[in-house]
Amino acid sequence: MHSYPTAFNYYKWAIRLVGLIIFVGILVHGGPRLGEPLDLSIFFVLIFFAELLPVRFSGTIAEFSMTMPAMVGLFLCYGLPAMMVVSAIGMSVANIITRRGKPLRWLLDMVSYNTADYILAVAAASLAYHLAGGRTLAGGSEVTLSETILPLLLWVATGTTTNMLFITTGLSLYSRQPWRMLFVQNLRWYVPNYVITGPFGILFAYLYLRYDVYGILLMIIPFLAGRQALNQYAVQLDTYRETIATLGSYMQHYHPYTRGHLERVSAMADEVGKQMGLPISSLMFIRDAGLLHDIGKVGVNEEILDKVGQLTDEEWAVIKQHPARGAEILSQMRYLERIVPWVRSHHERPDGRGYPDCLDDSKIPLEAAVIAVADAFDAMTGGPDDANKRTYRAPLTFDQAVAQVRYGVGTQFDPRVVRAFLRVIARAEEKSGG
Amino acid sequence: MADSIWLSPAFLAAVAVTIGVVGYSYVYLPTQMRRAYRQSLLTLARAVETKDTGSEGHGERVSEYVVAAAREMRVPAKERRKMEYAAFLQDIGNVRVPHAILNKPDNLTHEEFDIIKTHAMIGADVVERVKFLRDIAPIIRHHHESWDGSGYPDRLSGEDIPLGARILAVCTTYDSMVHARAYRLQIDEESAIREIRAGAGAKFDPEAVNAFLRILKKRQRNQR
Repeated sequence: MHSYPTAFNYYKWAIRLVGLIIFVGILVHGGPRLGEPLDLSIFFVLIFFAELLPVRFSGTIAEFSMTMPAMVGLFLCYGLPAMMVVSAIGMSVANIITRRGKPLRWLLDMVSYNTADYILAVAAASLAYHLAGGRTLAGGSEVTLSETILPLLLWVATGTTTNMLFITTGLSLYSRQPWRMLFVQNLRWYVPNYVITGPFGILFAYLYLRYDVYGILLMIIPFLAGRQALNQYAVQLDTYRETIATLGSYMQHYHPYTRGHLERVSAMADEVGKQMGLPISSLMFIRDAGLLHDIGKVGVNEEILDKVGQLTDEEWAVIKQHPARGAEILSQMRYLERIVPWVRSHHERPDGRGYPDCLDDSKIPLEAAVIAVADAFDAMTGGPDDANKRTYRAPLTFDQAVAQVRYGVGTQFDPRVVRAFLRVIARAEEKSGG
Repeated sequence: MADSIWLSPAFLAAVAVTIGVVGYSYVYLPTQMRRAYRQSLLTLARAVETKDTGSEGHGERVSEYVVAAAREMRVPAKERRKMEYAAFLQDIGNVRVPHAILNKPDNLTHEEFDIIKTHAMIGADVVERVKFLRDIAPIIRHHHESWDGSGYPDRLSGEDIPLGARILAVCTTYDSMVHARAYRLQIDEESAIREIRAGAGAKFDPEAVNAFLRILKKRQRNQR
């Protein structure tokens, strides 16, 4: 088992301790009422499956889960103590099942920390809810939907924010990355997620208030169908992208250098993109863009591409067509439209001296700038083994190439990208250096 | 219970959502995806065709013949789709055949022709590496085999050659004859048909030739 940074361990214990105190406090203070066992077990099953079966977009961290809506429904119906107990157990069991096979100590460590994290978040959310004048059925009163909407929105917002603060802090201590950057990255992901799933929570509550537990059962079928549809889409999209990107990259494999280069550019662009906190919708495609950025070279005379020595003006003109040609090829492909401008602009420069459009700084897509750095760096070092080295230029050492990238800041390369790139490089060196 | 649930708008909405979602994910989405997939493969194939002047559109035209001939031979839809994709990508191996040889205007030397011949193996090798295209690799590898065993790269004969490759061989030869290429002048449709018919049982699978000639006749009738 690899060891975590000390600060992260202290942090986890602090969270666990505070979580436990609040948990006991709520149970003692909130009274013993736990609700009908049947209804509670339906909610339990709901939360368990929602947590177990998220909708995942593989290759990314993107994931939608219906856990939060189910928790909102449970909270409205039975109040905080019941919701806390039922969902904490449901989520923990689901978490253990998805990660089965890991060592027991690791599982306990993870589940206890996550549960404590989660208890703090829902406690804060409920506090906000009650402060805003919201009531739950557990109080014995009639509750109408209209009076709960605003406090519910507050519930979701507070719960999400609290959870995000804790996760970001933990992640920042764990990965030693700057807190602010991680926070922005998380914000970009959590906000749309909760905007999408949030209304479902309110719908759950409404159906329960109106039709009792049958209302919840009514939700399950459309919910499962919706999940299935999203997963279906995710799987098909992945298959499609994987096939086209892999085929495209092997097609460029006109000599042994190319494929390894494309793979490394793809991986590096992904790392740098993550480091910069690019939106998830970009991260989903940046690997594909890395593999396909030179697709415009397919079909071009390899005598020009591989020429040793000075190119004539006409030959240069042919080479310079490849970003536009690549963009044109990719524009024919549905679901890959997003990467078309990235491919077109991967030879642009912030000083406006790039090609094909001589774009200036503000008009170059950030993703294109990421690919530009990854591409240039790998072309300079030529990969780890000699057989992969380009024919027309002696490869630089790692340090020389890094120096070249630094030298090009602001003229050839985007400063934001270079900053992220240098951090990625430093982290990789730290890892390999021990 | 507050109201009757079965007549409520909530229930009707739930049913409608379910039907909509199932229809979307099992009918609409797969159709859209397949269309996008087909279009993308075709685009990649076209990108390679630009390297071999005169071959633009070859893959797409041939794929139409192949699918029609396969339907004529009652090949199941799933197999037909594989044959269609193989037809698109048949010459993808040209990415590693030198530009100068592909576009050489005069007769090729033996060595040059041997290099041209590698395109079938290279193409098969490329699609072999792609998980969801692995199935079509044999069709691409063997689309220049002959029924009598005189083809390349493996000198397979008769039914040892995959059916898709046998059909593709007929269709691709015909299309190359009726369209001008760097190394060959265009000939008219009647002479091309005569040559294909003469090749039945020697170069081509006789059944594939029959199916191809039937669909060609149908096409000509429809054009008139």
